[in-house]
Amino acid sequence: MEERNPRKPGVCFPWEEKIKELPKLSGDPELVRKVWEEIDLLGYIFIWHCLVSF
Amino acid sequence: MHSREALYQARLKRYLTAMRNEKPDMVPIRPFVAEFTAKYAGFTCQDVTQDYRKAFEAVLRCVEDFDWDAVVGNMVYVFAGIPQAMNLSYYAFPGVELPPDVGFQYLEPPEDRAFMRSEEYDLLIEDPTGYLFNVWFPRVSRDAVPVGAAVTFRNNLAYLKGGMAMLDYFTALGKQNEALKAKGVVPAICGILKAPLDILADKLRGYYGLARDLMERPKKVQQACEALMPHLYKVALLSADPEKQLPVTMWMHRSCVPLISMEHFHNIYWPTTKPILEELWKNGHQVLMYAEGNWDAHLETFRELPPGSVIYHVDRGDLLRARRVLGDRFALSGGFPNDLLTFGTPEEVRAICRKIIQEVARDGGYIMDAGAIIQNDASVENVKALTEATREYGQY
Repeated sequence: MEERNPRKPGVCFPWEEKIKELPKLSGDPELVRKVWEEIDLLGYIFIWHCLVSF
Repeated sequence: MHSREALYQARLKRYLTAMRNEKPDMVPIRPFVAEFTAKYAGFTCQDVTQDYRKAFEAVLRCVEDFDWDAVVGNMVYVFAGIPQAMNLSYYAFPGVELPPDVGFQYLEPPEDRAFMRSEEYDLLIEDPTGYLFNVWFPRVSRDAVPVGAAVTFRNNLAYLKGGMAMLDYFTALGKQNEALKAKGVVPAICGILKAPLDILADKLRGYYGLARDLMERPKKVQQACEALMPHLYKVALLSADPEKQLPVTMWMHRSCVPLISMEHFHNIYWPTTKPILEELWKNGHQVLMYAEGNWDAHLETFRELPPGSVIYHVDRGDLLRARRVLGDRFALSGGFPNDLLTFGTPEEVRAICRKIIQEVARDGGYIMDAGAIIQNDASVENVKALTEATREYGQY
């Protein structure tokens, strides 16, 4: 299934955009990315379930 | 093994065997009981729609008394607290807009006030998630304000309370499934899917708007369906059973002949639905195709799916024809007429049960259920008759 738009399935606010707003990370960047994406996914689930489920 | 655990394992094996289109020890019973549970447990439709705890309790009381192999933890499904938190405009609820003992309703706006305008296809195609947040949600919620408008207290609450209510409900549904298992009953389904064209009709353009678009701008409709595909697949995958046993349910609404033309079915609906089903199957997930209405005109097309990848549920279609066309590839469920559960006698119910089992279920690969969800118009005596007759005649 081809993805035509830049906001991929599962993503509301891409990490690649978010990291531009952050200062130079002093610790583990993967941890910051992982948590950002996990919580971002909840926003995605919310809006798509509004459409599909409710 | 504890007796409830043994019962659960036996029912799970029976259900899974039938869904693989094989012959279990007996015909599994998996009724999609919705507002019927309220009637049986002494609640109103308002009770089970407004308060999911009562909905859960009603289901648990039913499975104590009925010998069902699998049920949905809450087939009423919609917990009104969520749409009410967001002030969604497309619902009418029992005890609010409707009498307390009438099932909730979906409302479709007139064509000129569709939630998605005909000129907005490119916006949706370019960025479906952005479209939902920025355009669609502020239109379906009476409290959310459009992007660029002054933010309001009610706007903020719509998103915050809606999200929190959804999280609360989904968490509770997980616990309800555990409660079912503890009673020896299999949670029947896990995960949700709707076809791109169906969701365009259901929640975006409305049926009349989409019917017009199919004639006036079919290419845009097709592109919109293609843009929705990976997202609807993602939603299905995220909500699917991690153990890959229970099927994702695809609720099939408005994309069959004569609601759309055969040409649109073949050119738009099927090419944007089949890949989702195939991809889920590649990932180990079966799909229950819950074919609401009558999809008999498309049975031959459904044969294109990999054997075993779906369970085909019959509502108003011809169950025997479905068996004849699909039976060598997929299990079937449903087909028992809902009107008989309401207006028939227990004797008539038993006779139809026997006929279905003899003619459709004789080689396995069939799961007993009504054609549509069972609401509070069904009589308790007839649902009892359905259950008892399936047990009596459904032994292999």
